[in-house]
Order: sequence, then C-alpha cells, then structure tokens
Amino acid sequence: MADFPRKRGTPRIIEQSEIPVGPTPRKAIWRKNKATLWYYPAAVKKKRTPMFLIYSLVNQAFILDLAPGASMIEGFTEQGYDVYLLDFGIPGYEDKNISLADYIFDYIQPGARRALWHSKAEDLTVIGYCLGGTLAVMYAAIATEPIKNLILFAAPIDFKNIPYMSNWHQALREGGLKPEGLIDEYGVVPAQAMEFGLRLMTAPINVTPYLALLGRMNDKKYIEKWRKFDKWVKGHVPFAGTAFKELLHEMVVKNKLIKNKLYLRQKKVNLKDIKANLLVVSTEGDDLIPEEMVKPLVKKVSSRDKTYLRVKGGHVTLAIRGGLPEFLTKWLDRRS
Amino acid sequence: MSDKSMKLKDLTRLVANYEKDLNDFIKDKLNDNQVVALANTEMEKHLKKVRFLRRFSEIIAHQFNFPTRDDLANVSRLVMQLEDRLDHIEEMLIQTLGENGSIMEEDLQTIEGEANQQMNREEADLKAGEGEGEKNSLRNRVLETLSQLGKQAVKDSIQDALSQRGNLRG
Repeated sequence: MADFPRKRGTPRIIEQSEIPVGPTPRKAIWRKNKATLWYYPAAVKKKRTPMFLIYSLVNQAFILDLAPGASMIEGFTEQGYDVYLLDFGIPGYEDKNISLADYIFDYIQPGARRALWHSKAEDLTVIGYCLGGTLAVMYAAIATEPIKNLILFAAPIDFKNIPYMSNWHQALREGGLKPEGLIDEYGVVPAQAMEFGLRLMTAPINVTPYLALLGRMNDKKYIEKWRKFDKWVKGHVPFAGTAFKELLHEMVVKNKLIKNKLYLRQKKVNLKDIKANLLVVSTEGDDLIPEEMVKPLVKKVSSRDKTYLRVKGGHVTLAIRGGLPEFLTKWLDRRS
Repeated sequence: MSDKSMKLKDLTRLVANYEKDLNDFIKDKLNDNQVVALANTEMEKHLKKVRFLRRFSEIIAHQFNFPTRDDLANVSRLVMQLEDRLDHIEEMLIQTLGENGSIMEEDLQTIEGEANQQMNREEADLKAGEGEGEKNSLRNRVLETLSQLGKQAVKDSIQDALSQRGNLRG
C-alpha cells in the first residue's frame, strides 16, 4: 500500500500490519480437510445445552468473535454456554467437488456428533448464520442427532421472490445466463468474484463507512474495530464449484428446499421433519437476505415451539454488537 | 460540539442519502436484460480464454514433467480419503469406548505401544536395506516417511480417542 504523506500528528488509520481477530479462548477439537470444529468453553458453565454454530460458506467465521465486546461467541460463553463453532475454512481448487450433501453429511453431521461427545450433553442448540443457516435447516431435517433448539439468523430459505436482480434470476431460470462452464473451469468461484457479485447485489458504492471513520479518527478503539470489520467485509473466501452450482440450480432456480423437493444423497430434505424449538430472526436493514427469503420457513416445520422475530439492524449487526441481544437471552433461558 | 465535526456529520448524512440513490440507480441499470446478455457473452469469451490457457499450460507441464493443478488436486483428494478413513476409525474408537466402559486406558496404551514396536521394527528393517543402492535408498526414504506419517496418524487417533473418552467420563 502506498505510504501517503500525512500531516504531523495525524494518526495512521490504515495500518499495513495484520490485525488480530478472535480473542475468545478456544481449542480445536476436530479437523477435517480445511474445516475446524472450535470449542469455546463457558466462562462459568451454567447451561446444559451447548451451542453448535454453523457459519456461512461465503465469508470467514471470525465475524462471530471479532473483538472483545464485539463478539457473539463471547456473549454466549459469558452467559454460561459451551460453544462449538464449525468453521469451514478456506476452500481451494482441490475442493471443487464438494457438494451441499458433502457439507451436510461429511462436515456438519460428524461435527455435531463430535460436539455431543465432547460436551457430554444430551442435545444441542444449532445456530446457523446466513448460508450457514440454510445448511443448518438442511441438517436439522435429516439429523439423527438430538437437536433441542434451532436458531437461524438471516438464513435464506425461500428463493421464490428475491427482491433484487430479477432479470438475472429469470435469465438463470431460462438458460440466458450460463455460468456453469466458467465455474467448472475455475473449480471454485474465486473470492474476488464472490466479493464483487455480493457487492453489486447490495451496495456497489460504499463511501459512508470511510466518512464515519474519518469522523472518529482519534478514537483508537473505534479504528481497531473498524479495521477488523473491514477485514471481514473484504475477506470473502472461494466457494466450492459443485456446491455453488447446486445452490444456483436447486435452490435459487428451482427453490427445492422450501418445496420439500431437495434430495441429498438420495435422502429427502423434508422440512416437516424439523421438530426442534425454532427461532427465526431477520433484520430490518438486511438488503442481502430480506424477510421474504427467511420467514416462510416458520410455516413449513413441525416444531410446536416456533418464533419469528424481526429486529433492528443489518446483515451482521447482531454478531458484532457485543454480548447477546435481550430477545435471544430470554428465548434461550427457558430452553437451555 | 465543534463546527468541524458538525460539518463532517452533515456531509456524512448527505453522502449517505446520495449513496443510497446512486446504488439503487446502479442496481436498476444492472438489472437490464441487455446487461445480462452482455455478461453472458463476456463470460463465454472469458471461458474460451481460460480453457485455452489451461490446455496450453497442461501441454507445457507435460513436456517439462511438471505436475498440473489437477495432479495436485488429485493428490490432495487422496490425502482427504485417508483423512476420512482415519476419522471413521476415530469415531468407531470413541463409540466403542463410550459404549464399553470395561476397556481401560491401559489397554489402549498397550495397543499404542505394540503399534510403536511394530513400526520401530519396520524402520530398523528399512535402515538395514539402505546400502542397496540409490534406487532402493529413495524407495526406503519414501516408505520411511509414509511409515512415520502412518505412525503419527495412529498415535493422534489414539490420543484423540483417549481425550474424548476422558471427556465422556467427566
């Protein structure tokens, strides 16, 4: 990065050094390929049901443990929960053949089993974030492991009415847009392409965060948090080609998950098989995953105890606000 | 509040408003059938170039005896298959230990000790055959490395199983 001349005394905002993230103490208890199952012990264990967190395939999981006071994981451990985070890591070209079924049966299911063995708990609270929530729903529908609670944050489930880029979806449906050849050639969807595509869908121009930074350039704590968040925003990871194509065709184009028509390794993903206590959360300022993609799940599951909440904030606000939101503390208290 | 920070706040508010309008405008323009068709055409052109480059690099790699990225990916997949098998063995061990409380940790340590002895014997045999020429030496080194890898993997599995069992017992 070019070293621009600065006025004497002006703090250096953008440092060249790597900024550390993930401050909560943790231990890897299982690894598979690039994935790691992290264990974050409770500060003082008060709850019997541990958390099993499934993060998205699009970005890096450290957003859940960004900095002290800005970490949802820290919030869980401070309230007495043992936390297990399944971090899928950064796929490479050699992972091009990983499918959605592989993620469910070879990563999530064994990861959940490991968490159960390790925690000695009778059941788990499964929490899915964004696309990790979609995977959590698929897993919950086929799981043989005991899932007591299922919590979803901004998880896209129904792709019928995506409120943006409608002509692109139509072209995908009608064959006017064929990215499969290019995906096959690259093996994985490169991280830069993921970042570029998601940025076009949400905010192609994004200047206000820099102005906000300029306004608080003497606040070291804010600058550090800003840099960490910026690292996450720009830290997209490659997406395994096979899983991406399945996501496009089975989910976005054919919308099979919400229609109970999705099969993974010849096993039907029937949403009616989900009986865990369900909490579905969407946020008002989420341009990427709006309410209409999240809410329809609630009517499709068999859970007797199900709650849908719409709260203030953006796509990742809840993860970085620090601590646990009040509604989540209350909901979990009676069910853990 | 200083005048300077007020100006910045006003500017931020103003930019935020324009930014939203501008983003909506860009997204609206991008959501055009002509843009979609153009993107598809450019993607096809790009695919042709990437495919040509891959084939070219494969020919060069073949001539110079370099591994291609597919060769490396295949090796990685073999490693992943091995990892899967070990994982499966580890799961079976954990399950067995969980179900059968009569299996003592000492039994597992005995198994580990016997495995180590067997591998040490194999290592000694390999070292004894090192003088049989360069070809054999390379073969032995490869076998030795594989043996060490296997030994480590078995050790790790047993240790993981023991630690998981420790957790199960509480």
